[in-house]
Amino acid sequence: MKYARRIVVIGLALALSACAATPVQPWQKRALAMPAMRLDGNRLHAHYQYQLYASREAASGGDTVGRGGCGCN
Amino acid sequence: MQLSARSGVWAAALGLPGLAATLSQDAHAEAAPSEGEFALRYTHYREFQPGAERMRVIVPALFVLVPIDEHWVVQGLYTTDAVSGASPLFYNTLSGASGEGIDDFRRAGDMQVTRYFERWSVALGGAFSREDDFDSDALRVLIARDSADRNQTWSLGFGRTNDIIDSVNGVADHEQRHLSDMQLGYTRVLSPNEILSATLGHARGRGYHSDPYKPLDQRPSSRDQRTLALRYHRYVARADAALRLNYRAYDDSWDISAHSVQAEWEQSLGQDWSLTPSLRYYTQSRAAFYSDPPFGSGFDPDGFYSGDARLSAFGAWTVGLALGVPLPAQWRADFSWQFYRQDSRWRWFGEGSPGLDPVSSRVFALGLTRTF
Repeated sequence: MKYARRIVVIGLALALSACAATPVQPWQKRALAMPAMRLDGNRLHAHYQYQLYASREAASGGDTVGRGGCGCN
Repeated sequence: MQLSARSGVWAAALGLPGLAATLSQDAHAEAAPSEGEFALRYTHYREFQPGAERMRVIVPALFVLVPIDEHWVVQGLYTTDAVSGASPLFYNTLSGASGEGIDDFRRAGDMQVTRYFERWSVALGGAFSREDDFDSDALRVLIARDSADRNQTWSLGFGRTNDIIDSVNGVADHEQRHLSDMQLGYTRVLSPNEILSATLGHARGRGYHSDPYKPLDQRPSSRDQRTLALRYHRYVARADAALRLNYRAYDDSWDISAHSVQAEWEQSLGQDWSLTPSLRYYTQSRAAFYSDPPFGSGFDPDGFYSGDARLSAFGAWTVGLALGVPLPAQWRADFSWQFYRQDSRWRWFGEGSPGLDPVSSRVFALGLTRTF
C-alpha cells in the first residue's frame, strides 16, 4: 500500500484543480456529446478489454464495481 | 464535424447537459438516454510464446440498452468464452509443458436497471459467470449526482461479488471468495472540448485466492486493492478527431504496484468512417510471495508461495487499430485488431523477473451496432 497515500493526494489535487475551470454552457457541449467523446465508450469492447487484461495482469479495477469474477483470473 | 454525424449531437448536448459518466455502467445523473442500442461482437483471441502457440478464445457477445421511458433504462450484456489450447508456461499445470490442455466454456451476463431523477441517478445491477470449475455472482449499486450547472458529477458505487471454486483436479473443493468493492468518482467538463474523470477505488477480497492448478501455490486469504483511474477526452476540432487518454495507478496488500497508460486517437475519415489507432503501456512489480523459476525455488511450507507469472514483475505493450464503417438503417460496423506483448525486460521502475518467456497475443474483433 505504499502508493495509496500518493494516489489519494493526486486524485484530490486533480479534483480541486478542475474546480477552477470556466463553466461550460449547455449549448457549448456539442463536441462533448459525440459518441467518440463518451466516457463509457463501446460497452462490449470495454467488457472484453477488461477481461483480457484482468486475466493476464495482476492489477484490475478502476472502472466499475460489482462486476463479477472469472476463473481466468 | 464528421465524428458527430452518426447521432443527433445537438439534441444530446442540449437535452442531456449532464455529460459525466464516471462509472462505466452509465451511472450518470442526467436524463435517461432517448435512443436504444443493440450491439453484437465477435472476438477471436490467439496467444503464443516463442516457438509455441498457446491459448485460443472465441468470444461472441451481445449488448442491449432499452429506454423504457424518460426515467427508466434497462441494459443487459451476455457473452460466452470458448477456450482451447494450452495456457502459457508458468501460469498453471494446464500448460503445454504438462501435456494437458484447456478446453473450457464460460457463460457470463450482466444486467442493470437505472432510474433517472432531475439531477440524480440510481442504478442497480447484477452479474453472473458460470464455468465447470468456477461460479461467480455479483451485485452493485451506483449513485450519481450532477452539480446545478451540470458541469460536474459526483458518483459513488458499491459492489459485492461471491465466487465458488471447484477445481476439476479436486484441490479446491467448494472453496469460496468474497469481494466487496467501492468507488468514488468525480467528473468535470473542463471546456467545450474537454472532459476529465477521476475515480478512486477500493476492493477488499477475503477467502480462497490460490490457484488450484498450480502445485504448491499458497496465497494469502485476503487481498486489498486500491486504484486511481483518470480519464481525459479532448475533441480536436482542426483535425476532426477525438483524443482519449487513460491512466490507472494500482497497489495491493500483496505488494504489487502497477501503472497503465493508454492513448486512443479516433480520426474521422469523412462520410462517417473513422480510424482509431491506440497504444497502451502497463508495468507491475512482483507479489511479495512470488518466486522466480526454476519452479519450487523459494518454497516455504509454512509461508506463502506462487510461481504464477502473472504475479511476476514485467511490462507490457498493446498496439491496436480499429476501423468504423457506417451501414444503412442506423447500423454501424467496426473491425479491430490488437497485438499485446508481455515481457519482463519492459518493466518500468525496476528490474523485471528473470527466467520467463515473453507472452504475446493478437485479437481480431468484428462489431455491429444499431441504434433505435
